[in-house]
Amino acid sequence: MIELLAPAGDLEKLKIAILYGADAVYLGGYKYGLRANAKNFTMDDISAAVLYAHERGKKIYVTVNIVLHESDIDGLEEYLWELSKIGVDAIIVSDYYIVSLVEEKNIPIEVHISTQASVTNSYAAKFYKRHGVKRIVLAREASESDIKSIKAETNLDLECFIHGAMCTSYSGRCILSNQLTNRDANRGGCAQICRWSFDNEGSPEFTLKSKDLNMIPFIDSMINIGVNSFKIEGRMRGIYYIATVVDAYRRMIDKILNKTLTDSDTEYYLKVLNRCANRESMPQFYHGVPREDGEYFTGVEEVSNQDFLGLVKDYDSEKKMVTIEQRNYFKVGDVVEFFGPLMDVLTYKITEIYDENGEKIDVANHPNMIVKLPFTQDLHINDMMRIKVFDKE
Amino acid sequence: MRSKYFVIPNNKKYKKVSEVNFLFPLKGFNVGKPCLFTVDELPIDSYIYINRLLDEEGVTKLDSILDNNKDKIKGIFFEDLGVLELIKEKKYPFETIYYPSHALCSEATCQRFLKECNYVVLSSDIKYEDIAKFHDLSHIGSVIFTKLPFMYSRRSLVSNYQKVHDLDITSKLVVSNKSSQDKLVFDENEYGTLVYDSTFYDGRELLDLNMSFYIIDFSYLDIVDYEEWFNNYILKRESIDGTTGFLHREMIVKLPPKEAKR
Repeated sequence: MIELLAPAGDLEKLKIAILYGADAVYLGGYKYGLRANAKNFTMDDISAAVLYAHERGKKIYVTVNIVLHESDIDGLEEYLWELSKIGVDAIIVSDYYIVSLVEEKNIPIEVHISTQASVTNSYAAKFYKRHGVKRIVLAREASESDIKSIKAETNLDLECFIHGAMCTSYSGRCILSNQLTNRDANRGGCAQICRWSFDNEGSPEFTLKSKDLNMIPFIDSMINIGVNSFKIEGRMRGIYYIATVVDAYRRMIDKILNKTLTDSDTEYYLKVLNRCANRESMPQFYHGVPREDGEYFTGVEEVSNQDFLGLVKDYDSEKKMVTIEQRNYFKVGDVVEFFGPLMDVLTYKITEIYDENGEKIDVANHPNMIVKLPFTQDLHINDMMRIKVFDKE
Repeated sequence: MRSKYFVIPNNKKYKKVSEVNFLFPLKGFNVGKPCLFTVDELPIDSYIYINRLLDEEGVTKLDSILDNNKDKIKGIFFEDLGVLELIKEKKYPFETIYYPSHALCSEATCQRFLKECNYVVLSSDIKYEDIAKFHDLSHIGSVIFTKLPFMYSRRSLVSNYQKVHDLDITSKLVVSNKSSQDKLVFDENEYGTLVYDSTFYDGRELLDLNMSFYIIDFSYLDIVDYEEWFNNYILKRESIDGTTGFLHREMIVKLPPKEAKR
């Protein structure tokens, strides 16, 4: 089983992730998750997510991965039972109390060990296996040879992060946020201190900012060494990011499984993802500990991405007109491209733009304005329009 | 356990103190501990400390050391649960003491782990009032004197910074937070970087709770007379210039709506 696992911060993102090819989606409820300050899902939302996913043969995992303090214990068991009854496919946990509680009470829900537990060797994995755990989300620090050994020694399902931001610390082994901001890192309040700069008297400021993770060149290798689930980071990310990243990895994985992947494909998806992200990315620990090229040392290089021009809301195949909800400025004469889960990328030069009243306009310059463009090929709701940056060779 | 106190020594010429055990950071298996001991340097019936998270190679090396030193090692304090599983699988006769830096913050979790190992050490990011409410502290210990660890990275953060800026730094770097008085120590070796507080942690009020055992970490002190220090600061409880860490600090989990990201 090879699974592409995507994040979702709300139901809209969850639907986009599934539409663009995710086999499973992970999300956080209002309790016990590590994104306490994100939008998060109510129980009704989780229920709706499960229904939506299961109707399409997809899975839902819920993060329950805080380190528990005394005040977190009351209500925990009821919460787990509720998730189980809703039909959540698995919970992602780091605190061993939850693992043992599920085991002891026979709560019918699969347990996955969170990357917060920092599993990097087969013995740690065996500890959890002994307690009924079905899957380990390995630490991002696990190398190719570590992953291979863990698989060989445990035969557990292994889930690895393949894309997105990463802590500078081993996940779960950092309380800098607690110390410097009173925000509890391991209970969802992390203030991301590893993105800060510090004074080093008389020397350049000290930084410890990790670049992001990007495993595009090694997906084939990861499949071969037994990784089962390929996880994308980013529950706080928007729909364009989710769609682009899921789409790229979906197509990569399918081509690998069909044995049709070419070097040109790999280069193309690498370029697409590098363009989509707002930070630099690299494979990080897969072939050993990254040196200075794995970090940022100067000012913040995070670039606001404005490639996402619009979301397809409708396509009239008789009139050959596409209805777009604008997301960033575009104008007549721009060369753009459409992409979506059911199509190859289509390049298009904008010749005309019509507003909601059918009046011809030159620019789409208001956020979320509805416009229509003439377009001869079939498009689908939730396809996306972006700036054309490069061709696939 | 033979004594209520475990001392992590700061030099290899340590002198025995009547009321304490020594806890020896094992060379090759620790980050951020300046005084490390090879197995050959350990006395019989030693307690060893492993604060590294281990990769496959590390756990294999450890297995070999443990297998060849069953008579020398009495107990193992460890951060990585792989160490516990290794000891169980190989049926090694050591006492097991789970000592995670940040993962043991509730009695419920402690008691579950105590079904798996002999003792546990509470994490430093737990409040005094929470510990005081524990029903059973009979196998639970705590650190009462150290420099609190705040972060553990596998990366060579000091070397990388030094290389990029062409600086001359030894393995340790002290930096300051721009908006507060906090100073952080970045201490690196080949297994990664440990970030810890620049000031000492004084958790001696935990002695009042009569926990199972206490750890006193001399790693970052210059003292040589342990007996005198122990008498003055543990038995007589003379004052120490330090912080109480997180024992009395209220942590924020959820921000007020306007500050929270959507």
